[in-house]
Amino acid sequence: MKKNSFLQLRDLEMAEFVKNRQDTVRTRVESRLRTSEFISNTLELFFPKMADTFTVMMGGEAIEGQHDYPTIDENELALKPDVRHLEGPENRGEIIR
Amino acid sequence: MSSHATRYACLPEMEDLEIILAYRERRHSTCFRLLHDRYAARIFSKALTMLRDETQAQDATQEIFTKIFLNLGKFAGTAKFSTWVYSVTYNFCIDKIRKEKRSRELFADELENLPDRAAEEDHAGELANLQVSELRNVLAKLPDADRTLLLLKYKDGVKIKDIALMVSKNESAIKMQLKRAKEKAKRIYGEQYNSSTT
Repeated sequence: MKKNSFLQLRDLEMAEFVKNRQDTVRTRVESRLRTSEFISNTLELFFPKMADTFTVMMGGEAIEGQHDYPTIDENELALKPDVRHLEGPENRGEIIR
Repeated sequence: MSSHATRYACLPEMEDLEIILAYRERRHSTCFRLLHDRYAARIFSKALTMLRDETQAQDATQEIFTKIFLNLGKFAGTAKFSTWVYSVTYNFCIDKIRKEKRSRELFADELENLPDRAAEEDHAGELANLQVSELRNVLAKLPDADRTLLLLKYKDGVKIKDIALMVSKNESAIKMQLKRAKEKAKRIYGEQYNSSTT
Protein backbone atom coordinates (compact mmCIF):
# COMPACT_ATOMS: atom_id res chain seq x y z
CA MET A 1 0.00 0.00 0.00
CA LYS A 2 1.34 3.42 -0.97
CA LYS A 3 2.30 5.65 1.92
CA ASN A 4 0.65 9.04 2.46
CA SER A 5 2.78 11.67 0.70
CA PHE A 6 2.96 13.79 3.86
CA LEU A 7 4.46 10.84 5.73
CA GLN A 8 6.85 10.19 2.85
CA LEU A 9 7.92 13.82 3.08
CA ARG A 10 8.52 13.41 6.82
CA ASP A 11 10.57 10.26 6.22
CA LEU A 12 12.67 12.06 3.60
CA GLU A 13 13.35 14.97 5.97
CA MET A 14 14.33 12.58 8.73
CA ALA A 15 16.60 10.58 6.42
CA GLU A 16 18.26 13.78 5.23
CA PHE A 17 18.83 14.81 8.84
CA VAL A 18 20.33 11.44 9.80
CA LYS A 19 22.63 11.49 6.77
CA ASN A 20 23.87 15.07 6.91
CA ARG A 21 23.21 16.64 10.29
CA GLN A 22 22.74 14.10 13.05
CA ASP A 23 26.43 13.65 13.92
CA THR A 24 27.06 17.40 14.06
CA VAL A 25 24.07 17.97 16.31
CA ARG A 26 25.01 15.08 18.60
CA THR A 27 28.59 16.30 18.96
CA ARG A 28 27.50 19.85 19.74
CA VAL A 29 24.89 18.76 22.30
CA GLU A 30 27.42 16.44 23.96
CA SER A 31 29.93 19.25 24.15
CA ARG A 32 27.36 21.65 25.65
CA LEU A 33 26.33 19.08 28.23
CA ARG A 34 29.96 18.48 29.19
CA THR A 35 30.56 22.22 29.56
CA SER A 36 27.46 22.64 31.66
CA GLU A 37 28.42 19.66 33.84
CA PHE A 38 31.94 21.07 34.28
CA ILE A 39 30.58 24.47 35.33
CA SER A 40 28.10 22.99 37.78
CA ASN A 41 30.77 20.69 39.30
CA THR A 42 33.18 23.61 39.61
CA LEU A 43 30.55 25.72 41.34
CA GLU A 44 29.61 22.88 43.63
CA LEU A 45 33.24 22.34 44.66
CA PHE A 46 34.45 25.90 44.94
CA PHE A 47 31.43 27.95 45.86
CA PRO A 48 31.52 27.00 49.59
CA LYS A 49 35.23 27.94 49.74
CA MET A 50 34.57 31.22 47.96
CA ALA A 51 31.70 31.95 50.34
CA ASP A 52 34.00 31.26 53.32
CA THR A 53 36.72 33.50 51.88
CA PHE A 54 34.22 36.27 51.40
CA THR A 55 32.86 35.84 54.95
CA VAL A 56 36.38 35.99 56.44
CA MET A 57 37.21 39.08 54.37
CA MET A 58 34.10 40.72 55.80
CA GLY A 59 35.29 39.96 59.33
CA GLY A 60 33.29 36.83 60.04
CA GLU A 61 34.35 33.27 60.65
CA ALA A 62 34.53 30.53 58.11
CA ILE A 63 32.01 27.76 58.48
CA GLU A 64 33.96 24.62 59.11
CA GLY A 65 32.36 21.36 58.32
CA GLN A 66 32.14 18.70 61.00
CA HIS A 67 34.72 16.08 60.13
CA ASP A 68 33.19 13.22 62.05
CA TYR A 69 29.58 12.54 62.77
CA PRO A 70 29.43 10.73 66.18
CA THR A 71 26.35 8.82 67.15
CA ILE A 72 24.75 9.72 70.50
CA ASP A 73 26.61 6.85 72.20
CA GLU A 74 29.97 8.03 70.86
CA ASN A 75 29.38 11.68 71.66
CA GLU A 76 31.16 12.29 74.99
CA LEU A 77 29.56 15.65 75.46
CA ALA A 78 26.07 14.20 75.28
CA LEU A 79 26.94 11.49 77.84
CA LYS A 80 28.31 13.85 80.54
CA PRO A 81 25.81 14.04 83.41
CA ASP A 82 26.65 17.65 84.26
CA VAL A 83 25.81 18.96 80.84
CA ARG A 84 23.28 21.69 81.32
CA HIS A 85 20.06 20.90 79.54
CA LEU A 86 17.91 23.54 77.98
CA GLU A 87 15.32 24.94 80.31
CA GLY A 88 11.99 23.41 79.64
CA PRO A 89 8.52 23.37 81.09
CA GLU A 90 9.85 21.94 84.46
CA ASN A 91 11.22 25.37 85.43
CA ARG A 92 7.74 26.64 86.10
CA GLY A 93 8.90 29.15 88.71
CA GLU A 94 10.66 31.19 86.09
CA ILE A 95 7.66 31.51 83.89
CA ILE A 96 6.42 35.07 83.97
CA ARG A 97 2.66 35.18 84.14
CA MET B 1 11.62 -3.28 34.48
CA SER B 2 14.89 -5.05 33.69
CA SER B 3 17.95 -4.33 35.74
CA HIS B 4 19.99 -3.57 32.61
CA ALA B 5 19.39 0.09 33.23
CA THR B 6 21.17 0.17 36.53
CA ARG B 7 23.88 -2.41 36.01
CA TYR B 8 25.05 -2.00 32.43
CA ALA B 9 25.43 0.57 29.72
CA CYS B 10 22.29 1.16 27.69
CA LEU B 11 21.17 -1.26 25.02
CA PRO B 12 19.20 -0.47 21.85
CA GLU B 13 16.29 -2.71 22.82
CA MET B 14 15.71 -0.81 26.08
CA GLU B 15 12.62 1.36 26.60
CA ASP B 16 13.01 5.13 26.86
CA LEU B 17 12.43 5.18 30.61
CA GLU B 18 15.07 2.52 31.25
CA ILE B 19 17.60 4.49 29.23
CA ILE B 20 16.70 7.69 31.09
CA LEU B 21 17.17 6.02 34.48
CA ALA B 22 20.51 4.60 33.39
CA TYR B 23 21.62 7.95 32.02
CA ARG B 24 20.64 9.72 35.23
CA GLU B 25 22.63 7.24 37.24
CA ARG B 26 25.78 6.85 35.17
CA ARG B 27 25.82 9.65 32.57
CA HIS B 28 26.95 7.02 30.11
CA SER B 29 27.50 8.36 26.60
CA THR B 30 25.86 5.28 25.04
CA CYS B 31 22.62 6.17 26.82
CA PHE B 32 22.86 9.72 25.52
CA ARG B 33 23.50 8.53 21.97
CA LEU B 34 20.61 6.08 22.02
CA LEU B 35 18.10 8.65 23.18
CA HIS B 36 19.51 11.30 20.87
CA ASP B 37 19.44 9.12 17.78
CA ARG B 38 15.95 7.89 18.61
CA TYR B 39 14.46 11.40 18.70
CA ALA B 40 16.73 13.91 16.96
CA ALA B 41 15.41 13.34 13.42
CA ARG B 42 11.79 13.57 14.58
CA ILE B 43 12.52 16.77 16.49
CA PHE B 44 14.26 18.19 13.41
CA SER B 45 11.28 17.35 11.20
CA LYS B 46 8.84 19.01 13.61
CA ALA B 47 11.07 22.06 14.05
CA LEU B 48 11.33 22.34 10.27
CA THR B 49 7.53 22.43 10.00
CA MET B 50 7.39 25.35 12.41
CA LEU B 51 10.52 27.31 11.55
CA ARG B 52 10.60 26.61 7.79
CA ASP B 53 14.38 26.86 7.58
CA GLU B 54 16.77 23.91 7.77
CA THR B 55 19.58 25.76 9.54
CA GLN B 56 17.19 27.19 12.11
CA ALA B 57 15.62 23.76 12.56
CA GLN B 58 19.07 22.24 13.14
CA ASP B 59 19.94 24.91 15.72
CA ALA B 60 16.58 24.38 17.36
CA THR B 61 17.18 20.62 17.53
CA GLN B 62 20.47 21.30 19.35
CA GLU B 63 18.85 23.71 21.80
CA ILE B 64 15.91 21.41 22.44
CA PHE B 65 18.13 18.40 23.07
CA THR B 66 20.38 20.34 25.43
CA LYS B 67 17.29 21.53 27.28
CA ILE B 68 15.86 18.02 27.46
CA PHE B 69 19.06 16.48 28.80
CA LEU B 70 19.65 19.23 31.32
CA ASN B 71 16.11 18.73 32.61
CA LEU B 72 16.05 14.96 32.42
CA GLY B 73 15.98 14.82 36.23
CA LYS B 74 12.58 16.53 36.16
CA PHE B 75 11.05 13.89 33.90
CA ALA B 76 8.82 11.95 36.25
CA GLY B 77 7.80 9.23 33.80
CA THR B 78 4.07 9.82 34.29
CA ALA B 79 3.64 10.73 30.60
CA LYS B 80 5.43 9.11 27.68
CA PHE B 81 8.90 10.50 27.04
CA SER B 82 7.98 11.15 23.40
CA THR B 83 5.00 13.30 24.48
CA TRP B 84 7.28 15.35 26.73
CA VAL B 85 9.90 15.72 23.99
CA TYR B 86 7.36 16.90 21.41
CA SER B 87 5.76 19.37 23.79
CA VAL B 88 9.21 20.83 24.58
CA THR B 89 9.83 21.01 20.81
CA TYR B 90 6.62 22.85 19.96
CA ASN B 91 6.90 25.21 22.93
CA PHE B 92 10.47 26.04 21.98
CA CYS B 93 9.52 26.74 18.36
CA ILE B 94 6.50 28.85 19.33
CA ASP B 95 8.65 30.91 21.72
CA LYS B 96 11.21 31.40 18.97
CA ILE B 97 8.55 32.46 16.47
CA ARG B 98 7.02 34.85 19.01
CA LYS B 99 10.40 36.36 19.81
CA GLU B 100 10.95 36.99 16.13
CA LYS B 101 7.46 38.52 16.02
CA ARG B 102 6.40 36.21 13.24
CA SER B 103 3.41 34.77 15.10
CA ARG B 104 0.91 37.10 13.47
CA GLU B 105 2.30 36.22 10.10
CA LEU B 106 2.25 32.53 10.88
CA PHE B 107 -1.06 32.00 12.64
CA ALA B 108 -2.79 34.92 11.23
CA ASP B 109 -5.86 36.92 10.56
CA GLU B 110 -7.84 34.26 8.77
CA LEU B 111 -8.27 32.56 12.12
CA GLU B 112 -10.16 35.42 13.72
CA ASN B 113 -13.90 35.20 14.37
CA LEU B 114 -14.83 32.38 12.11
CA PRO B 115 -18.26 30.78 12.35
CA ASP B 116 -18.42 27.28 13.79
CA ARG B 117 -19.26 25.49 10.56
CA ALA B 118 -16.10 23.75 9.48
CA ALA B 119 -16.16 20.04 8.83
CA GLU B 120 -13.81 17.66 10.65
CA GLU B 121 -10.59 17.63 8.64
CA ASP B 122 -9.07 14.32 9.51
CA HIS B 123 -7.87 13.24 6.10
CA ALA B 124 -5.46 14.92 3.77
CA GLY B 125 -7.62 13.63 0.89
CA GLU B 126 -6.15 13.91 -2.59
CA LEU B 127 -3.07 15.72 -1.29
CA ALA B 128 -1.98 12.50 0.39
CA ASN B 129 -1.80 10.77 -2.99
CA LEU B 130 0.54 13.24 -4.65
CA GLN B 131 4.17 12.43 -5.42
CA VAL B 132 6.49 13.86 -2.77
CA SER B 133 8.07 16.23 -5.31
CA GLU B 134 4.60 17.46 -6.33
CA LEU B 135 3.61 17.94 -2.71
CA ARG B 136 6.81 19.91 -2.07
CA ASN B 137 6.09 22.20 -5.02
CA VAL B 138 2.51 22.78 -3.95
CA LEU B 139 3.51 23.49 -0.33
CA ALA B 140 6.19 25.93 -1.49
CA LYS B 141 3.54 27.99 -3.23
CA LEU B 142 1.16 28.12 -0.28
CA PRO B 143 1.11 31.02 2.21
CA ASP B 144 3.20 30.29 5.34
CA ALA B 145 0.23 29.91 7.67
CA ASP B 146 -1.50 27.37 5.40
CA ARG B 147 1.66 25.39 4.79
CA THR B 148 2.49 25.17 8.51
CA LEU B 149 -1.05 24.11 9.35
CA LEU B 150 -1.13 21.35 6.70
CA LEU B 151 2.26 20.02 7.81
CA LEU B 152 1.40 20.13 11.50
CA LYS B 153 -1.78 18.18 10.89
CA TYR B 154 -0.81 15.67 8.21
CA LYS B 155 2.98 15.34 8.42
CA ASP B 156 3.46 15.61 12.19
CA GLY B 157 0.06 14.23 13.17
CA VAL B 158 -0.75 16.99 15.68
CA LYS B 159 -4.41 16.92 16.74
CA ILE B 160 -6.62 19.89 15.88
CA LYS B 161 -7.28 20.63 19.54
CA ASP B 162 -3.52 20.73 20.18
CA ILE B 163 -2.93 23.05 17.23
CA ALA B 164 -5.72 25.25 18.58
CA LEU B 165 -4.01 25.36 21.99
CA MET B 166 -0.68 26.10 20.36
CA VAL B 167 -1.95 29.15 18.51
CA SER B 168 -4.55 30.17 21.14
CA LYS B 169 -7.51 29.85 18.79
CA ASN B 170 -10.63 27.74 18.87
CA GLU B 171 -10.88 24.38 17.13
CA SER B 172 -13.49 25.52 14.61
CA ALA B 173 -11.21 28.27 13.40
CA ILE B 174 -8.40 25.79 12.89
CA LYS B 175 -10.67 23.36 11.04
CA MET B 176 -11.85 26.14 8.78
CA GLN B 177 -8.34 27.31 7.98
CA LEU B 178 -7.30 23.73 7.33
CA LYS B 179 -10.19 23.29 4.91
CA ARG B 180 -9.24 26.47 3.07
CA ALA B 181 -5.57 25.49 3.00
CA LYS B 182 -6.45 22.17 1.39
CA GLU B 183 -8.62 23.89 -1.18
CA LYS B 184 -5.80 26.31 -2.02
CA ALA B 185 -3.33 23.43 -2.28
CA LYS B 186 -5.62 21.53 -4.65
CA ARG B 187 -6.10 24.64 -6.77
CA ILE B 188 -2.34 25.19 -6.97
CA TYR B 189 -1.83 21.56 -7.89
CA GLY B 190 -4.49 21.84 -10.60
CA GLU B 191 -2.90 24.94 -12.06
CA GLN B 192 0.59 23.55 -11.92
CA TYR B 193 0.03 20.03 -13.13
CA ASN B 194 -3.07 20.69 -15.21
CA SER B 195 -4.89 17.97 -13.35
CA SER B 196 -8.62 17.68 -12.71
CA THR B 197 -8.55 18.11 -8.94
CA THR B 198 -11.81 19.23 -7.34
